[in-house]
Amino acid sequence: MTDLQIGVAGFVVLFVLLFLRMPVALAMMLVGFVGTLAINPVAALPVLAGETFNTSTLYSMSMLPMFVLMGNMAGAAGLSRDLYDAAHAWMGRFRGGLASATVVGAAGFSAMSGSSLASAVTMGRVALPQMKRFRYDDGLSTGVIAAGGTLGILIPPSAGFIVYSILTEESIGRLFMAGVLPGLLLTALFVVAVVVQTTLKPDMAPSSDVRIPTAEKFAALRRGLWIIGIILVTIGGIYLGVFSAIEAAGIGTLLTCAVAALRRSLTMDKITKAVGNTLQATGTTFLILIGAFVLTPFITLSGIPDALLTLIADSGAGPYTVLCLILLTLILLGTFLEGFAILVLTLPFVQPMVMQAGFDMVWFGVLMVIVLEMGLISPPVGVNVFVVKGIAPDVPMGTIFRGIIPFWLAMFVVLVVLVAFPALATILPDSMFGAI
Amino acid sequence: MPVPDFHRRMVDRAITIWAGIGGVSLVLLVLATGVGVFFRYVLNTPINGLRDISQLLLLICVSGAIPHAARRGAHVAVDLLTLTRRPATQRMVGILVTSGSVALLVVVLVALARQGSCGFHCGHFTPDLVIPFWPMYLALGIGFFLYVLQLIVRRSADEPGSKPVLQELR
Repeated sequence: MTDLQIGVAGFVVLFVLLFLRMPVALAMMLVGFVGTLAINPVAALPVLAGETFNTSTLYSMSMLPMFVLMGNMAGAAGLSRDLYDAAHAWMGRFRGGLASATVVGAAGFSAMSGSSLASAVTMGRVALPQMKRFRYDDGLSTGVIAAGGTLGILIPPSAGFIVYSILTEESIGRLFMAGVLPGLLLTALFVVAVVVQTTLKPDMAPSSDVRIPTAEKFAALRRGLWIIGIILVTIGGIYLGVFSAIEAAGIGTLLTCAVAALRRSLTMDKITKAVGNTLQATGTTFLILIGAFVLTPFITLSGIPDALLTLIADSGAGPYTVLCLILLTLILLGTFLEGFAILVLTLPFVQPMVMQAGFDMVWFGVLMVIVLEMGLISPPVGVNVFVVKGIAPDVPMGTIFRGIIPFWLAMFVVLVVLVAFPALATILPDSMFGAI
Repeated sequence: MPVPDFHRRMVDRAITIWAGIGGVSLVLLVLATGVGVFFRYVLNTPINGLRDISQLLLLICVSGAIPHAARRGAHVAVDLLTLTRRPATQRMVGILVTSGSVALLVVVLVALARQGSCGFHCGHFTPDLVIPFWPMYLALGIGFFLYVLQLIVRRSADEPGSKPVLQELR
């Protein structure tokens, strides 16, 4: 067998293992190890041990558990509720206002947490009872929570960008900044999706007659200033070059804990739960990364990326045709694969193609993360949907997926806008670090 | 063959303790980063070797996190075809997949042991504080070993006639 044939056979085996429900990380490690053994037997064991060890001590990855802890601590301390309350106080009176407030609250919480799951869970617990109380349509209320949660991996700090930067060796600072404007645009489009739905079908969101006095509105905003201050220090610190992203993660977490301690809103039980949830996210992400790093040498040794590049060059396809094909493939994969799995499985192939086509890898990173967001709410394996189902067990899955459609379309619009106007993603990083 | 209840609880306790150590490492990692920022920007005196310490803490955190995530069933898997398979087929596939996973992780443990034992001769120490890597390899090995045990316990809990203790332990 040639190396290329071994590579192709390896991928067939990989997909068989995935469909047999082997954990994605272990499937990648197994195929990577056996494949390397077949092509270069001497390298197999050192690659396995070396990549496992190096990934677990990757200094730049230390920001991931810290950012996740920051979000979990903010959720445990009730800071996320303050954000939602502030948005609710100002927007709740309008038709669909609670759903819009959920989007804004999720966007704010996403700026503290790199995890979409944490955003969906936290916002779901805070916002869903309110929307139920005001007899919001089940599809709208669950859909907005699942979709709002996905902002967690686009608005910095984002776990998606951290993993992408590790795999592509792109600057994490540039990626974080590149996610800001598309994140805000997507937040705005989610609100537009709520407004359009509730205008067309007013029954979906009965308007609230409760008028909140102006003093109370400002009081709610003041309470939310803590979280806004932490976001400004961490993300602003990165933008101004005061902190590295790792330092911002540490400082942000310490500030969150300090604020929570000042408000006396943390108990030992909440801290233990927040740390436990952080460890869970850390274990999942690091094991997938280890799998990816064991698989990558096998992919390179097999020569599949070179063969793909030759194939594309021979086909005469233009750069945008290649880009559209890649994005369509990723969207399709998103319907049955988990987001991080798509990221680590496809990047070794996609990166050379995107680079050869002459595209900016930071810009492409934003596109890829948006596609991953779409995957988080796409049937049948939309992880955020399962999270929302856990919070609202009485709502059928079909209703949740139906409620998600307008938000999925909003993501698609952002994707198209970003392809048409790449500057939307690159203007902030270029203004900070200078154009490449 | 079902694993005795006592052994399951032992495995669970070991994972809990190791995750606790990982959690403490995570908190120390945050503190170390904060202290580093304070010394660098406020006192204008960067601490030498803090990066080595952070890497060590991260590794212990990861090592504690992997079996902890496994116990919570958090490691990502594709759930597409399991929806349509019969229970008997699911059981067979489960045994096959667990066996493959355990075999792979045993190889990982062997590889870590071989690489970790090489020591100073192979340049296996941190760049600033010259901390040898072998204790880190050992710590990582403990995490993977506990993951192996968790896979076996989880598989046995899915066997017919087995007491479903996993939910209760979570």
